[in-house]
Amino acid sequence: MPESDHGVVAVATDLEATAMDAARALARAIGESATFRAFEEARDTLMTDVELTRRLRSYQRRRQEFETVRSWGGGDPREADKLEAEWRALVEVRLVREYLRTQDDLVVFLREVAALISQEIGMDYASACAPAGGCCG
Amino acid sequence: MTSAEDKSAVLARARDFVGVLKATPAGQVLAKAVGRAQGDPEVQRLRERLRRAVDAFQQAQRAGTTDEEQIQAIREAQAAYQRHPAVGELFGAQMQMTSLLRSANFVISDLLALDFGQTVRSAGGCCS
Repeated sequence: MPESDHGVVAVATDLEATAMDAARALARAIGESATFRAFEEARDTLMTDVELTRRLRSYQRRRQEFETVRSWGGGDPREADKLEAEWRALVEVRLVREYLRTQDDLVVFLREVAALISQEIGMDYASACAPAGGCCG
Repeated sequence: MTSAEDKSAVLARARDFVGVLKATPAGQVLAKAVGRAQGDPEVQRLRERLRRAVDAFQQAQRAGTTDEEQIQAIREAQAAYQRHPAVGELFGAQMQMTSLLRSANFVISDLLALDFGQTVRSAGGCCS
């Protein structure tokens, strides 16, 4: 590699390392916000209830499976009723309500952050970070 | 509801992050490619056609009435859009930036113990 190319590569690498430092600083600022701390506390409290966490995960998995089937025109209405009943039971639990409330606040906040990044760089942050192999490839 | 103080502190760090991203070679190539694609009326027309096809499919998906014709319409609109040279250039530039964004997302998500990219995805899921 010619010497001048070494220089270009070094500048690019430096800038990329600086970008990762800036990403870390952004994460720390998010982590210090009251919105994130409230979510973290609600999440940690919820996780201490093993049975409740298991029910919530099971509900989310069944819901996702149902939505996938429904998006292709299928889906058993009885499963829809069961899911609805389970959801009503889950949101009766204070820990779940608190978790969902703090999560909603956090999502609104983080979407604002991601929207700023997407708008400034000219591409969608969330789509770029989506796992490979998703339906939009 | 996030306080104005927290919001301002976090958005300032987000702007710093974006500033560095824009200065990278990938950021500079992307800015040029975005400018070229946005300034080209044909690209805008093809993009709008694709957006309308995706919207129609999503509406049908919600109603549970999707059909093969709608999927075909998306495929055709997508192919026409992707064939445009300015779009090809844009995709190439986006791929370079994607690699940087994924690394950054890993750093952010690791510190927060939450997938930042996944959390901010629209409720509509993929393709939206």
